[in-house]
Amino acid sequence: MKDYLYEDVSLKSWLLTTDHKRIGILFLLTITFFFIIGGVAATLMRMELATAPGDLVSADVYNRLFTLHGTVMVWLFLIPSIPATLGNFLLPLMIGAKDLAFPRLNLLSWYVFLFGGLLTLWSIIIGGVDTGWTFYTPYSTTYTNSHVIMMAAGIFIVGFSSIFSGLNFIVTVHSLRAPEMTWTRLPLFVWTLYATSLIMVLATPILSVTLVLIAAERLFGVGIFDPALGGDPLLFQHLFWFYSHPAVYIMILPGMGVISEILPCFARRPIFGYKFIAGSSLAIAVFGFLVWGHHMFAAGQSLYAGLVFSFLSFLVAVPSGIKVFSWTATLYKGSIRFDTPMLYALGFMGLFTIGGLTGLFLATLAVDVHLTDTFFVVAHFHFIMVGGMLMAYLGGLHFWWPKMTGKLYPETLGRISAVLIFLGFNGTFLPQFILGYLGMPRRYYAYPEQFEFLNVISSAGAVLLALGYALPLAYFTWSLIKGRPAGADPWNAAGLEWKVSSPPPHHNFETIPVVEQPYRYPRPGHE
Amino acid sequence: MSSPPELGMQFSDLRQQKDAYRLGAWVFVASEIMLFAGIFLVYLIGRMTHPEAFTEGSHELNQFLGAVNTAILLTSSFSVAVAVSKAEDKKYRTASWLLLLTAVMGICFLGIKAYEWYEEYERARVPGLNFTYEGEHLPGLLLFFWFYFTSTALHAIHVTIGVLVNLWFAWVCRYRAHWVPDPSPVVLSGIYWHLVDLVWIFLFPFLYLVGGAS
Repeated sequence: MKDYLYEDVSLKSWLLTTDHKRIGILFLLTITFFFIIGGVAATLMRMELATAPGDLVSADVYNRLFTLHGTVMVWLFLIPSIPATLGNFLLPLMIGAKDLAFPRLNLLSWYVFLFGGLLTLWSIIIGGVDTGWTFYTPYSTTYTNSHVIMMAAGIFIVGFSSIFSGLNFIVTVHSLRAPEMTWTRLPLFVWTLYATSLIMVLATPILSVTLVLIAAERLFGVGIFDPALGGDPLLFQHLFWFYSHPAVYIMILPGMGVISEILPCFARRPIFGYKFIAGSSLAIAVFGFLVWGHHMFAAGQSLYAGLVFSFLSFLVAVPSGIKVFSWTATLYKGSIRFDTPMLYALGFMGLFTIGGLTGLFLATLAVDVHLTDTFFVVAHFHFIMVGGMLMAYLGGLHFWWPKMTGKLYPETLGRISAVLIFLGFNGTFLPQFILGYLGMPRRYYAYPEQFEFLNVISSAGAVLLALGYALPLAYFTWSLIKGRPAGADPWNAAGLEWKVSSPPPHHNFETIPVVEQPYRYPRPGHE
Repeated sequence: MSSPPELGMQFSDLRQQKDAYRLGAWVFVASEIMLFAGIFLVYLIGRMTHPEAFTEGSHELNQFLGAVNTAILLTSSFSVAVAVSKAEDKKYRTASWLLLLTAVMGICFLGIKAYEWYEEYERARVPGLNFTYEGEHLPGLLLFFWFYFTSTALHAIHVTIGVLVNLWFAWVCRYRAHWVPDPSPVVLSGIYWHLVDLVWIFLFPFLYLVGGAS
C-alpha cells in the first residue's frame, strides 16, 4: 500500500487534499517561506544596529523593517508554527484517529491562511507599515500614512485560520480518540495542543474586533481610541493585549508539548509528573487570559490595576515552573542520548527558563518602569519566542522528520546546527539584556556610541544564528533525495505515531490501534 | 463490514460523527460570542464616556420597528426549534415547512432592518457616508451611530447566512431527505439560528431602549 506522499502525486491532489498529513506539509512550506521573509528583515535590522549611527537604512525604513519582522514572525510564523504543521500532522496519529474531525475545514484553514498571509505581504510590498506589530493608537489611527488597513485586513483573515484549526483540534481530541485512549493516556503534546486551541478559539475573535476598530477609526473618523473625540487610546491596548498576551501562550504551549515528547524518549525514562504537566497546560491557558494588563504598567493604567496584574503575572509563572521542574526530574537518572532533537530540547529548557525568569523581572512594577520599551523587553520575549518556541519547533521537526518523510537527515550536521543555534542565539540576545538595563530603547535605528560594543556582539551572534537556521534548510532538503530510509521507529520511541510505517499510509491506521500507558520507557522487549 | 454512506471516513460510527458535529457547533458559538463580546465591551466604554449622546442616539432610532423585529426574530427561534424536533422525529416534510417559515421571518427582519437603515440615511446619520450633526453631543453621537451600524450590519450578515442555511435545509428536507438520515445538520443550523437571535436580544436594549421611552 502506498504512503500518503506517493498515493497520488499530482499537483491537484495536493491542492485539494483533505489529508491532515498533507495539509501539515502545506503549512510547513508556507510558514518556512514567511520565516525567511521575517528573517531577512531581522538581518537588515541587525546590520543597521552593528554601528551606532543610522547609516544603512533611513529611520523610516527601519520602522517598516521591525514592523514587518514582528508581524510576519508572530502571525505568519509563530502562531501557526507547531500547531499547524506538527500538530496537524501528528494529532490524529497520536490519538489513533484516521484524520481530524473536519478535514475540509482543515484545508480551508490553509487557504485562508495563505490568502491572509499574501495580503499582509502585499501591504509590505506596496510600502509597508511603520507602527510596529502592536499597531498602537493613536499613531496607527491618526498619524501614520502607511498601509495599516491593508495589513490589518491580512491579519484579520489569518485569524480565521487560527480559529478553524483550534475548533478542529478541540473536537478531534474530544471525539476521535481511539477506544482505549483515555484522557490520562493522551500524549502531553496533545494536551498542549488542546490548551492552545482553547485560546485560539476564544481570544482570536477579540483581535478581529480590534483590527476592525482600527480600520473604522482610519476610514470613518470614529473616535473610539482618539482622545480628541472623547475616546481612549488605552482601550486599544486593553483589547489588543487581551488577545496578544494569550497569543504568547499559543506560541509557547505547543513547544512545551514537543519538549515533553522528546525528553522521555532520549532520557529513556517515563515523563515525571504527567498529570501536573497536563494540568499546568490548562492552567496556563486559563491564567493567560488574566494577565494582559502587565503590558501597560507604564501606559497610565491605575495603580490598583497594575498591582492586580502584577500579582496574576507572578501566578502564571507557577505552571511553567511546574513544567520545568518535571522535565528536569525526567532527566534524573535517565540514560541520556544526545541526539539532535535532544540537543534542541535541552537548549529549550535553558533558554525558556531564562526567558521566563526575566519575565518575572518585568512583572515587578517598579523594575518594569525602568525596563519598559528597552532592549531588555526585546531580549526577554525573544528568549521565549525564539529560544523557547523556535528551538522546540526545530527539535520537533528533527524528532518527527523521519516520520513525516520516511528519511533520515545527517545526524552530525543536525547536532552542529543545534549547537550553532544555541550559541548564536545567546550571542545575539544576552547582550540585549544588558543593553536594555543600561537604557537602550527598542525601535531606534541609531544609538549613542557607548552601546556599540554590545551591539556588535549581538550582530555577530545573529550571523551564527542565521548559519544555524540555514543548515537544517539545506540538509532537510538533501535528505528528501539522498537520506537513508528511516523505518517506522528510528528512535525506539513510545507513542502511536511510531507504530505506523514512515511515511504513514493515507488513512493512518488499518485497524484500531492498541493503546498502552504513555511514555513507557525503557521500551519493554526492546532494551 | 459496510458503513453507511453519510459516515465520514474519519469516524467509526454515526453516533461519534453526530457528537463531533454538535461539539463543533458549540465551539463555534463560543468563538462567535467572544467576537460580539469585544463589540459589546466597546459599547460599554462608549456609553460610560458619553451617556447623554447615547441616550440621544437611542431616541433617534425607530423603537417601534426595532420591537417588531425583536418579536419576529424570537418567533423564528421558536419555529426553528420545532423544526429541529420534527427532523429528529424523521418528520422531514413538516420540518421543511418550518425551516422555510424561519427563513421567511429572517428575510422580513432583514427587510425591516434595511428600511430602518434607510431612515437613518435620510436623517444623515451614516458615519463615513453622510453623517452631519450640529448639536452638542458630537463625538459621542458619531460613536453611537458607528456602533449602531457596525453591530447591526455584523448581525445582519449573520442573519443572511442563517437564512441561506435554513433555505438550503428546507430544500434538502423536502426533496433530498435521504441526504439527512441523521438530523445533525439541521440541529447545527438550529443552534446557529439561536445564536443569531441571542445576539439581537442583547443588541435591541443596548441600542433602542437605553434612552428610555421616546
